[in-house]
Amino acid sequence: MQMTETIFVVFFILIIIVLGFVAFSKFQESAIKEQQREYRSSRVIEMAHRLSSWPELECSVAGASQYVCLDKIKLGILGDFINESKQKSSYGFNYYFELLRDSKITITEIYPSHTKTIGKDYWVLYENLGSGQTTEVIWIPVNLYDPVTQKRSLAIMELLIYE
Amino acid sequence: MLLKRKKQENKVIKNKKGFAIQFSWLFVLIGGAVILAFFFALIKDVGHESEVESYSDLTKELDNLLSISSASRDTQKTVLFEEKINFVYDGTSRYYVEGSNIHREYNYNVIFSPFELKGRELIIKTLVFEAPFKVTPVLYLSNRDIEFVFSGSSSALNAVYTFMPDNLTTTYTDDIESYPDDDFFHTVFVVNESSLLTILEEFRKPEGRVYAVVVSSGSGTVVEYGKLSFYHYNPSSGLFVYDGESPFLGSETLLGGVISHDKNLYDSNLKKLMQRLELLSGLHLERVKHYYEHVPFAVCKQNYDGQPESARNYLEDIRTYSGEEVSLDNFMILYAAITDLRILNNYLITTECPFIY
Amino acid sequence: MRTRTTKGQVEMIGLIMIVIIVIVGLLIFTVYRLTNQGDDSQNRYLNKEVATNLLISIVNTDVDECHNLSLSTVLTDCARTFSVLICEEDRLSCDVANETIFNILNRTLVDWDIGFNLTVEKTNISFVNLRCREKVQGFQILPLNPGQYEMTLDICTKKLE
Repeated sequence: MQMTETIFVVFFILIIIVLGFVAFSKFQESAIKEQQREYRSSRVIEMAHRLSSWPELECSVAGASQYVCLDKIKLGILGDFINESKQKSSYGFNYYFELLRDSKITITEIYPSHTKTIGKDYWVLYENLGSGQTTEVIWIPVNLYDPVTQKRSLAIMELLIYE
Repeated sequence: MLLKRKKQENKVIKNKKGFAIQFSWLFVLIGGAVILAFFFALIKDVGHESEVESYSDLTKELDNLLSISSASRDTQKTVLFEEKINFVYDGTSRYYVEGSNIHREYNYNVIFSPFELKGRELIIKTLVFEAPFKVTPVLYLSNRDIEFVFSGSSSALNAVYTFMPDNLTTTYTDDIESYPDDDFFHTVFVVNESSLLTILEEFRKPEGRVYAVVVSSGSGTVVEYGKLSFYHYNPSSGLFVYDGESPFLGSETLLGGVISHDKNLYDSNLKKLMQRLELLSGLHLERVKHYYEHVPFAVCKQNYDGQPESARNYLEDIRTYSGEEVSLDNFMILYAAITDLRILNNYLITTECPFIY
Repeated sequence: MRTRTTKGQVEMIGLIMIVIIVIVGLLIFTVYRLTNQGDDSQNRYLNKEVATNLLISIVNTDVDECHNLSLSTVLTDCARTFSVLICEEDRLSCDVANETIFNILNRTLVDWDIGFNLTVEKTNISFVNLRCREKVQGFQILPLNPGQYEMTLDICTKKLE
């Protein structure tokens, strides 16, 4: 009888230990996911800020390195190029996929124009929808420079990251 | 009778107790062995995981270093890094810390490095390749355990020497034959004529650590394009063995050839550079076409798409010849188009016309 | 003998109860931790950098209604004791700056339902729409020649429930 009791006691202690491990690992998992999310956000924000120094987007105007400035004409050209190379699965798209992965980058002019007309004041720079449902949205205010009219407008770059 | 019965009962009870005591010892022994085995397995697992984690941390550290360096322009940094790094190109560009099975691909970043790097520190220099617009950042990886020995005299050699990262071990010699062996991890002789590459009298164990790069300018004193010939030293024959030649375009690739001193790695990075140049020149070309259609001033339009020479012609040449096979002739044409485009853009900056880049 | 058997059974029941309490407690804790992640699948990233970058972008924008001068130039004129700039249709720099900033904020922070508070020193330009406890602040120091003035933007990171 005593032996049976001992067996049961050890068995229940083991159950408690196992449950403790399970709970701890669940807790760790959610903490790690949160860390991963923050790391991913900061990495994408850093990359988005670097977009303004990409040769294919940077403004060719003096002092433009002081703020996030994208060339309006380059924006349209690059967006079309990435879309075309995506259809052909060529080097061009693969190059940008390596940098941007499963994400969507859109630029919407806020001032002065705000009609959300594609090619005029709204551009989809890159789009590769991921299979995940969860997304993070990051907004980055930018200036757009039109080298023909030599005017700077205000826009918001929106990044959607798919998990 | 009663006493006998009681005695029998006590005997049974004693036997049962004895049996129970033996059994509980066995139970404790088995239980203890299981728990010990569990903990041993856990320790072994943790030990293996920590080793994997350590290599993973080193690889991440290297990734971060390279990533941060790519974002800077015209900078140089020296960081402590004591592990050996291997760089491989076999269709895919990869690097890994020796001993680790974590390989990192870098198929789009241009990193000129030797195929193996071992020492106490890592020297990372960043330049931006321009042709004439910004193309891509270029990284150069080396350390003080690699010795660069310059011999001979030419404007190309002077240009390389000027661009070499600071704090690298660089020396000059008039006599390669009696150059002393200071047992560096690699010794690279950088010369302007292959006739300067003689037998090495003073080198004790030169297997796998002595190399040479012969720099030949494209034409006269021009150092913007030319040819690099790669050699490795064969101690049994006492000769420098020819590994092949590749062209260079701009001081960035010239420096890259010397830092790499490996034809295979150099070619892979040159190819990435040319692919990127082809992509960007195509984008600039579209932009110039847009200017031609939308800029109202005729005096500006002729610079974008006028005859006989215009931005469009130059950009088309750059796009065409960067997309073709790398050769000295193609690089000569590229160099001409790049120079012309630079002159045109510098002129446009002085006018009211939108710049090309 | 009978007392020991009874005690053993009581101990067993006690042990089972403890196990059940521990299981239930751990379950509640785990469920709470997993469900308290956030209300929607879109997690917005708002921080001090966004506030500062928005201000920088705003001041570097050219104003259509004021000869395509940058908003920082128009604001600087407004911040001076005596404004000299006359914008299109004879409008004052302060009015144009106020209207431009209003339009921008309407199309951004108001549209996104984010509380904020924007003020420009030495001018009457101020927009208050702050309805939260937790906020971040960005600011820009602009030259006045002589002197300087400050533009501040507070953005809510969490709504007031």
